[in-house]
Amino acid sequence: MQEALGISEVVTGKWNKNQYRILKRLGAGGTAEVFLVEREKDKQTFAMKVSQDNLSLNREYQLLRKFHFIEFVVNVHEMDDFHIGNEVFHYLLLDYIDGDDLKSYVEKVKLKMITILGIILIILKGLEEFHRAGYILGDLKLENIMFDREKKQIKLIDLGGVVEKTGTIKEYTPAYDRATWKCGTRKAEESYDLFTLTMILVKLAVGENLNPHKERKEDVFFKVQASDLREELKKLIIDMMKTQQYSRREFAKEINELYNKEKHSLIEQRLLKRDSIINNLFKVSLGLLILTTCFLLVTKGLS
Amino acid sequence: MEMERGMIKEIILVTDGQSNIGGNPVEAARKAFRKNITVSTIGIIDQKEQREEPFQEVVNIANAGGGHYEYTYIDNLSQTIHSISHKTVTSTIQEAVNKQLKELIGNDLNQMPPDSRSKILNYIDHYSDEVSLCCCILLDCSGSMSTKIQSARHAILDMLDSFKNRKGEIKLAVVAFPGEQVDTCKLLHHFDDELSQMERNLYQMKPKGGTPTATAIEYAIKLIEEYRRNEKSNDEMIPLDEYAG
Repeated sequence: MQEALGISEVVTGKWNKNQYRILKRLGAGGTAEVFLVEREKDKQTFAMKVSQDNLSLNREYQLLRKFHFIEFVVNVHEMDDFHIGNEVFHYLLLDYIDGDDLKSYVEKVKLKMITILGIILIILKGLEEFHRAGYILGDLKLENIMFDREKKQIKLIDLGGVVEKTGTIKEYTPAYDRATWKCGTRKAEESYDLFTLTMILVKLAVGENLNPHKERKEDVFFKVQASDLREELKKLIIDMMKTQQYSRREFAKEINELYNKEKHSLIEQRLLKRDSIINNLFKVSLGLLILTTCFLLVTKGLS
Repeated sequence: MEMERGMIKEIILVTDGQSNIGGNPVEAARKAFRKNITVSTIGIIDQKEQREEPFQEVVNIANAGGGHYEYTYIDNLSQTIHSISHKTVTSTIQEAVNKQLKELIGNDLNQMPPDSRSKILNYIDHYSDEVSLCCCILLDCSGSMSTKIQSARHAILDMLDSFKNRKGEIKLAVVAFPGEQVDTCKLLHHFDDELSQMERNLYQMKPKGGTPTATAIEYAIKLIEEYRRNEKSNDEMIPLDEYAG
């Protein structure tokens, strides 16, 4: 497929007749490739997801349309085909998000605890909408969450793993998959997503790479225990990994409390800092006052 | 929606090298396909070495067997079996649907506008999780697999775990090759065996000897055919009339 789509080539949609110029290859995943494209008529840029697997592309299109109303989900504009020679390619046209995915972002920047908890809360909000509609997100991972540099938003860009409740998880990533960690099954139920989210939290908060082929879940518990996280957070993570005993609402409540604690301690730190600045200012001005007085006295004495 | 009791039959060959004993595996795969059994292949590649050349066979077998192929590291084997099996199921259904559409309206799926195509694809998607599946996994146990066999065991057990949640019926067999003799196979798990037996049987795998791939494919064909003969078969395909109108 790589050879099929060249840079600066123009493709024309078979059904909607829109024309797009290929600007750059953004990446690949599963059976699809993603390109940065420019719409010929108005020079607007988009991300184009191209695949020959019409089944999975169609599923994703339906889901993106269905969950259009969720802030956290990327916008889709159209689904169409184009031909190259005898071969048919299918594509989705998505909003182009200028920024890094969370995986590469955290490799460059160390996130503050409050930011991490904030991200988890945003994802939980999104999960709530999916769960309420009867779906499980499934293959949630850092690679599929984009950080929009301009709008300062986070967006989910891939719904390939979404399945209906009571079905089976079809796509997963071992590091986030509870069956690989021997912490549960691949049944599509709400707790599956909560486990995945917990592993994302571990990855962000503890900052270690997780490899279920080399480590057991007990090794992860140990890493969490040995970290400098708050005790409540350690307990929450380990409980969630072991049994996923918290419902989504309870989990969100816990995370929210931790978020507020972080916020308070940040404010306290800031207050402390301000106090110490005032304190220092006071000392400095006192010193200056004494110095001036001495100076005045000395000059007076001399004259 | 009431589903028909059609059954999809597939062989998934997991190997890390070229066949070097017995007949021609590409011929064996072609034979399987003629009997409506698709043959897909998974080539295990080494994390360190890059040996591209002996794996052309993996592609050739899948092409002749009407299936898919994928290369993977041993650590990702379970996922790969899962995804290749899913691909086989959906593409088998899609082909059947395409054939019926061609007969009914003279068009195949890709010639339909996206909106009407979507309806049929949604249906295929649902059906693929509900259709019965008969799958025989052929696991290369030649000498070169000895360092990977532990991971392979885990992968097979893990894969069974995820197949358990499938909505439709699933019949699964696992065959190791070579068996005791140079040109034989060893049945580790028959279609109707207890799953609890599986783990013990998996530990009976002792990697040694060469790679009689053709023998293994022939063996799998026989296994599936005999098993199906004993089951009452009703291989009607999906009723499509309501979507074609």
